[in-house]
Amino acid sequence: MTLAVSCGWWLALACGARTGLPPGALEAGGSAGMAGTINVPACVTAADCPQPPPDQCGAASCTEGVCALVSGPACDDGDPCTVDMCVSGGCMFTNGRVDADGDGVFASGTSADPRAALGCGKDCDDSAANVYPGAPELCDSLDNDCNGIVDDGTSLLAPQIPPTRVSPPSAMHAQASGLAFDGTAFGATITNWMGRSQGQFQLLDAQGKLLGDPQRIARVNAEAYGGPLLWAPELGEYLTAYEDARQGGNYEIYFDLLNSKGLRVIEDLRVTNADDYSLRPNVLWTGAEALLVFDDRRLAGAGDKSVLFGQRVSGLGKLVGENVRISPIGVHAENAAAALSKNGVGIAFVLLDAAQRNRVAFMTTSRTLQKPSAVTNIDFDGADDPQVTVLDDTYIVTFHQDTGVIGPAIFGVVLDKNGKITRGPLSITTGAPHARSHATYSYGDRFVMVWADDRGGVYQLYAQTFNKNLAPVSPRLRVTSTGSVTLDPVIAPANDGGLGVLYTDQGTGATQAFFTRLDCQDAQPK
Amino acid sequence: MFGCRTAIGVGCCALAFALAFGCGGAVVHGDGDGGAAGSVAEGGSGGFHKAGSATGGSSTPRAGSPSSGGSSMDAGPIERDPVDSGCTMADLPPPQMECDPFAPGSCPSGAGCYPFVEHPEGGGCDQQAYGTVCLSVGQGKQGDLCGDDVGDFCAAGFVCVVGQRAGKRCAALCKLGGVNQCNNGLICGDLDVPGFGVCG
Repeated sequence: MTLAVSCGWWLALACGARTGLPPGALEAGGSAGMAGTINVPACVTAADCPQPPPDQCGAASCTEGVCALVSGPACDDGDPCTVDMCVSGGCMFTNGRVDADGDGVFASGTSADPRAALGCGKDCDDSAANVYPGAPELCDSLDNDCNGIVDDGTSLLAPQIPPTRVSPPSAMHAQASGLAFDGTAFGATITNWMGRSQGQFQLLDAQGKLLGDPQRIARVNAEAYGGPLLWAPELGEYLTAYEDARQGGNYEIYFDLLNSKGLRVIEDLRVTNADDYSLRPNVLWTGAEALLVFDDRRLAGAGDKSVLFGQRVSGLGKLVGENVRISPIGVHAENAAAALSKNGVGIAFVLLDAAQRNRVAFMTTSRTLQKPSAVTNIDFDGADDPQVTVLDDTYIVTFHQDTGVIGPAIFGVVLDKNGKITRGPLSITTGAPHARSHATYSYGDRFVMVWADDRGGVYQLYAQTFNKNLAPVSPRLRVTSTGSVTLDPVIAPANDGGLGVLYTDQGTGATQAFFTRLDCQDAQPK
Repeated sequence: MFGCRTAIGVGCCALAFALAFGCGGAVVHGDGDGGAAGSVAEGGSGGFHKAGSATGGSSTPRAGSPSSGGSSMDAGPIERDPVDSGCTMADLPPPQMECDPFAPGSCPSGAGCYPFVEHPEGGGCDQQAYGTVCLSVGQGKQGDLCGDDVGDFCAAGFVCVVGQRAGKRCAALCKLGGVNQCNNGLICGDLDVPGFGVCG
């Protein structure tokens, strides 16, 4: 602790200047060494008068009903990490550094505001004893070592538990659609065929045990599909969007909010009312509203066979504005994947080029789906089924190849924030005759990808982590070992660093939806 | 995920068929309103469908925290009451089976057997009509563009779907649940016509 009484003197009233300030509206003297007198009327004793702030020496007095402040020096030693006070007429400077969590590292701020960015200490979270520079990185979704990266150095492990069948016994067959973690449990959306298709929600605990019965989402008698699923912590609700064919003779996009048990809390929100099919909605959550991106054929009669549209939806489940066109005129665009970045939305999609070959392309919009950028074409014959992943200011677009024959790898492209290709396309998986149906999740500095390939003769799921240069930074893990076709992974992280994987498996004679998880292993000491 | 949507027209107007398959698609068969006997519109068309993705959420715990006041958006996560609405559930109607796509010769010469689905137009609780129908055959094979856009329709044994690659594409019909009959890395996946699958 530092104690320094810098001065013990007072500046007396200098000139007797007075103002008409009411009590409490003290206008104190300025920096150290300055002095002044401010008189405030209406007092009986000095106690009625405003006192100088703690770091300002001086005293108030009341003379003939008028407050006066005799100010001494301001106490400021120039060190933001001390607490500056005037005590008994002298300045006292005490160490303000704080280590509230007892991990031996001071917070960046002081006891007055431990989170203030004052540089007093290097603990980036003084409320958690396992977070400080040099701490071992744990599987806890925290940045333990304060390097700005969550769970870096940890690694995923191959599944340690048998998979859980998620689709109910009554399902003739099923598809994996969406997966999200709400902090306690996983929610899964699946499409079950019980004669017709039905989108359903199933709750699972963090280890994949089924919790309760599946819940139908759209309660209609027409074809209805499960869609992507997202947990919005600000709402305490899941978001989902899907297509069904309940009206108009074709598929339209609908949006729902579900509570933590998967029960709808709004009436199904119809998002499109368009001729022909509207399909494949993506759902993003900005923290305040949902953004939907989907493909739509309403303009087919006008020459645009398939167009990307978007829609904003409020957290209350209301449309915000109208459907907005995203892809430009004359571009046949469909099968979009979208991801939020700091400044906007990155969208990868499949386009049909002039030679009627499918390609993957990329564009961005603002976070309100406005200001669509120019389209970046990724020159790769047969590129299909894209995903987009955001790493810092970089977009990663991954896809497989389908020219009528499924290609041998998952391919990737790196684009900068302006959509300029900086690396690729290049294959990021190897060793299989065919690879397809992949999912990605970003950790900020790296991403994990789960995909299917038939290196063993039948499609099985594998997982691997890649950096922003598309280089692998972990061994390849085998996720499924069923001997039957497993495809279509959908992934979501848990808050213990593990990764939930929802997928389809044809091992029962019909395609069914299953869940497994990859556990997380803490970083090894360096 | 992939899933195909069929869009086959039978009779009047546009008949849309949707197939659901890991890749996402829908069958699109041409309509038969040309009026000329024997030219019953397009061969089947449909597609695959890949489910969209969802990003942006986080893994913060659920459970309601106290409201901080303000708008409902600011009020923190307070669980709302469920909405218990929807249609009275109805059993799937029987299919309208005119032919068998897997049995050669089940349609007259020059016609092929295609699955179709006709989605409801009504008030939101109606059901689809679906089944198979004999239509004039096209030339399209696996992955070929099909439908009105290109003036060609799918050969017998294929159906025009939405969701396989870009555009409407022919996809080979297959039987779900059996040994995979698809080649070149393709697999038999769901179609939105009950009882049928397509290679994708």
